[in-house]
Amino acid sequence: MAGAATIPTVDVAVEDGTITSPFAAGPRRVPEQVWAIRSRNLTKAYGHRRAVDGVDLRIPAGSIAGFVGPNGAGKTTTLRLLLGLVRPTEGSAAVLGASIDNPMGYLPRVGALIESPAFYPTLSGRRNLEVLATLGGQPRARIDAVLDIVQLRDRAGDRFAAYSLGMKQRLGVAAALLNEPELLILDEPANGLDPAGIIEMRSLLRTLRDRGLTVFVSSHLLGELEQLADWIVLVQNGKLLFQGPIDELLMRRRAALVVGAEHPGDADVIAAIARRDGHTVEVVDGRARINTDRAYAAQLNRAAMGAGVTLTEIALERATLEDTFLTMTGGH
Amino acid sequence: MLRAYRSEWLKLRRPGMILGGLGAMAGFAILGTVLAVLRADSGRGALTVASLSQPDGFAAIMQRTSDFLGIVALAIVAIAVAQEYSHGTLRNLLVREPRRLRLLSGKLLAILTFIGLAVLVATGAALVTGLAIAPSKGIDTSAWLASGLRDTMGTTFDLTLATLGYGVFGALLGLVLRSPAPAVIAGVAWMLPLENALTAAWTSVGHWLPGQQLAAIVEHGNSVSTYTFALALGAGFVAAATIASGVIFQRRDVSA
Repeated sequence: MAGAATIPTVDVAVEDGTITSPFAAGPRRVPEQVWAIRSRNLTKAYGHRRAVDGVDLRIPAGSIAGFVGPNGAGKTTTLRLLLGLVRPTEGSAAVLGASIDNPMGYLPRVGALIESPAFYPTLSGRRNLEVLATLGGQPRARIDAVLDIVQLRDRAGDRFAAYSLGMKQRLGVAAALLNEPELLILDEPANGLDPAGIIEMRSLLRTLRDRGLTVFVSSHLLGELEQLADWIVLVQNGKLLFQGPIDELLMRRRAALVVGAEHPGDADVIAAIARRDGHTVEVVDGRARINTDRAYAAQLNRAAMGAGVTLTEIALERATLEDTFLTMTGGH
Repeated sequence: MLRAYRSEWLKLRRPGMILGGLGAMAGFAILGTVLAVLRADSGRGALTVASLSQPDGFAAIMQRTSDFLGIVALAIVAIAVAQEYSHGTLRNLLVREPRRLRLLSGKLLAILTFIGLAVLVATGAALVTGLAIAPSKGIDTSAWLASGLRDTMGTTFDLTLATLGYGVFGALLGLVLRSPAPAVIAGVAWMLPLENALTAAWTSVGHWLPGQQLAAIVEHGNSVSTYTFALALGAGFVAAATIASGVIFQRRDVSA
């Protein structure tokens, strides 16, 4: 897969020690290295099965990077490798400039939520955060701050077991923010959130990015990632299928013009014109779907008029991340 | 390690642990005391009113409850360790303290401190119970805290050592099996029926079994092992279990 071999570069301007990421609304300080995460041939095998297979990962500092792949693609194992929870069979990786062989070199600057939020069910949300803050050496005041960020302060005294899935998820994010991380690694953070919660989560992650954090987030909500992510990493069967700016991925699946005419039968005339001009066309529900870009619209309009066809609709259908994902993964 | 210790204490202070763990140990100690007193001279227990009226009468009661306290301690530690895997909370802890041996050391020290305190509370509860009910059976308890104080303190010390030993084995089982129920079942099965059956079948084998050494420590030496031998071999078993726990925790992937 060509995308795996070609790593797009990111334009990063350095002025007076301030690195300005193209993903930010404005300049902000980010770590010195351009790549927040970088791996070479990262591999994790369980017996003969390679859960992660020779992955060369690049996550630009200061971006929101989406991590997508079918179930069992190796996303969670990759995140566990990056967090030092499992050891690679082969290869290496650096997180915030430090090797994953030395997790102490970077984990104090990383916040993480891996898989489902895991807490002690009989302890309150606040006490759970106290356990983690004490272990991590964070001040107690930080607990109220993160509870405010995830809007859970009024339920902080309730037992974790009594929380809804969405509240558990928010507590997980709060825990990940306890140490004011430079890199946030989140595994399906929107699981269980209602639409309002998803919007809040999106807003929170954007705010964090704009403050200089790098966010590496795996999700099955491809539409959500499409709105949120600057960078995308696509894996399947443990292998990297693509990584790069999300727009570059979306451009791999060409846009289409959807053209409707005054009379349904005219769709065939339009299709014939488009085919004559060298485009592939399919006619669906009385409309022609032409695999081409916006520039062809004016030419088609003129040709249709010349053929006595009145167009009622010319819409540019942009490829979605979901379309692209399904195409690249073979519909898995 | 100090942060891991303090963090673990926040979990140990929860009502469930205090009621379930500390309460169970105190409950077994009280139950053992009540049964020992009520069965004295009944022909069903080994202790008599005369033996319980000796300065070491209370120490004898505590020696007979040591198996139960040890099993409760083993269960508490095994559950506390294995639940980190079954709840998935271990990954949260390791992200904050990736130095695994420090995390494990702090955690185990905190739990074992809790166990030690629980033994003291259980001993105190048993003593108060014994002092309250023993006179009703004609047992003279005046020597328990006078000339028998040294025996009582010595037995409490030995009981604490042995119970901590059970706790270390519980930690190893929790780390190996990573699930509370199997860890507790395996520990109880080994320490009670299996070891006792092996010892009954081959007396010489009991001389080398960990549970038998812990029992011999509480009894300050018995027919299986002398006190010194039990201390030495028991310490060896505990050291081996500690090293094995550390190696497993340090090297094994955390996929839970």
